[in-house]
Amino acid sequence: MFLKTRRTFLKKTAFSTTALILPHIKLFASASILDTLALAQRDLYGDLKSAPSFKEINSRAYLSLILTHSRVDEDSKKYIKNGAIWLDEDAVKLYKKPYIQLDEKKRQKTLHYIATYTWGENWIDTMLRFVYEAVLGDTIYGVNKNESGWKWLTHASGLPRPKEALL
Amino acid sequence: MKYDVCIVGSGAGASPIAYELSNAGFNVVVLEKGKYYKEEDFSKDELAVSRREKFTPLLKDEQHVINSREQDGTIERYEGEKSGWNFWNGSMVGGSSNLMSGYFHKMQENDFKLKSVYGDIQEANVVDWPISLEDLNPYYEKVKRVVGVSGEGMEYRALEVNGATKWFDKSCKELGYKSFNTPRAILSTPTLGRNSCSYSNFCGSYGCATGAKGSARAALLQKCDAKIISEAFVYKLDSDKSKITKAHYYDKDMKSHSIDAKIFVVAAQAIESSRLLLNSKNEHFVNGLANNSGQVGKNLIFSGGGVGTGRLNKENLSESEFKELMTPGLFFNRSIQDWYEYKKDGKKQKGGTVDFLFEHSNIISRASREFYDENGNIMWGAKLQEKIHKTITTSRVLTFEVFNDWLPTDYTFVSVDDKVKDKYGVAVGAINLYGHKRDVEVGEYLASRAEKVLEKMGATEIVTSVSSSPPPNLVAGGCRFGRDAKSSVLDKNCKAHELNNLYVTDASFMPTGGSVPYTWTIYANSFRVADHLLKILST
Repeated sequence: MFLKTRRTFLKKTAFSTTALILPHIKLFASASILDTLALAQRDLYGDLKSAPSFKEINSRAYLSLILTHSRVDEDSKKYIKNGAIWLDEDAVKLYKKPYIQLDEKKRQKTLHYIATYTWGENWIDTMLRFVYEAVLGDTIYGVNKNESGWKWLTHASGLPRPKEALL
Repeated sequence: MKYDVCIVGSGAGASPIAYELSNAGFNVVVLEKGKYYKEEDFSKDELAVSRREKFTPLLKDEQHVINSREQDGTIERYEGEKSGWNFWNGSMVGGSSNLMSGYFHKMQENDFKLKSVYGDIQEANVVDWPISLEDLNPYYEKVKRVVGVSGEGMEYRALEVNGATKWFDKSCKELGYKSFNTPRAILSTPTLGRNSCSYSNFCGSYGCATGAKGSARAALLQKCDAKIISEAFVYKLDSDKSKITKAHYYDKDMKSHSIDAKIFVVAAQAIESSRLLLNSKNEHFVNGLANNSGQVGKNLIFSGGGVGTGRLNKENLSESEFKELMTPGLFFNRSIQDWYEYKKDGKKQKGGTVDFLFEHSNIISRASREFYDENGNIMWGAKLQEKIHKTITTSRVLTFEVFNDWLPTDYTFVSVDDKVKDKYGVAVGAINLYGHKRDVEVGEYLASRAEKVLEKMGATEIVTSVSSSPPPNLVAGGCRFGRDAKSSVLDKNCKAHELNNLYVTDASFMPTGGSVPYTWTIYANSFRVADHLLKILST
């Protein structure tokens, strides 16, 4: 009932409107929200051989930057974090373990499960946007190492490049 | 100190006046809310400019309220901070002209007399302009020379274009359409004390690091001695019953200052100019400055139309054609105006312009558009990586933009919302929106013609989006000029009917928009008003 109510709420609020950091239960205490977010990013990014490696894109550090960014509003930051909590809740519901303790197959099943809900699809979309910002953003942000993302897509960056990052 | 002229705003409607009057020896001060960025401050940082919207005020500090009128007459209210919907576009010295793509088309003769040529349209406040193309033509020419317009028959030779334009022109010819090279406010050669275009591949939405783009800042403000005070938000104009006496502004530290001048020119962008007048009520003007007629803010317009896209694929091209297509940097620059006027049910009707361009080079945005499969389901992992790689490396998207009249109505106007204040404690602008059904009909007609070119070129995935959604970078009206003081705010010289020293020279003056992007017309009109002010101040 709680989940149903919450998802109805999310359907109405989507990305940029009021979201709350929900109190999470003891079961999740062993994994930080950032660990869950980072693992979800890896699972969402993929492992295509010709694409930059997950290590190269440095998306965990980039997401940390986003979560403190002056031009990302607080509601959006809360939404990202809440998504990790809800992902964990659904992992527990399906497999009795938080997301971070699942094997890859079960994590993918959990992602497919949440994608059937509007909130889940929206959250995955949001996470992918930040992942691909890390794949293809300017290297001044500590991402896209050796311009591997641009090389992968044979993209010619615009010039001049930034002299400082906008944080 | 008393200035000769105080200008509020620094974009295309403000800068010609600063340029002309200060170069003629008058004391001019320009008050600009945004920062003073110069060429060296601009880069092609997609994360900063397009993703984090570096040049848009934070909506918690400054927002709009939008009241959208639905077809059934109900009103939906959106507060900008909560909804993310805003109409900011280039809060900086030089205004939105810094971020424009610089597609420059002149208005055509009949645009100045929409009512007398095409007749009344139900629910639309269509009027003739108090001036004609003949009046504005010398100033269009001046903009060509001073701001710098490149293209066939323009002051400067056309910019380099991608080889795919050959197939485009051939397709148009086969369809019986007449395509032409789009004039651009971008220098193709070093001149006017500015560098030429570097073909950096990122133009629209980005500031120009070479100075080639004819922004109000690069072309005019940096070429004159007008005093520019940036980060100066003008919150109120004082007046007696016949003239403006002072402009009050907050600096970045929220300290209040005032400016005294003989003439005040407001050009803060159409929505903000009306908002300033409405927020400057006093005992002589209880409904806002120059608003005893009740016309300030009324008849706000946007550019009607929409966009379409089609994908040109490697598999349908020879190796050399594909190589040509994928060459980065070069422009596409093609336009069609064959349907600027057309017949419907035997009656002539105003149509518009179609510009063709390559999809923006923003790579993160292009990758993000691949997140969903053909059934609309979200994708991720290796499948998504494969899709992104294949799409981006084996095809290129050609886009078209349709420009047609957004008909002025009683329901689209600027007001102020006293319930919501900005960081300065000033009531925010409320944008009341309604799209006349004719706008979409005309847009769809034009888009259907444009689609045929894409089809002829062999494009796939052709998609068109025409709606009454207002583009925030193509806004005009709110202080329309006219001969009758009861139905307009400004006279034909853009002076307020009700005040002797107040001029409004951004796109606010336009009673109808024409079926072209506005910037060339805004520049030209501002040069025209500058000539008028030179005469006034010289006597």
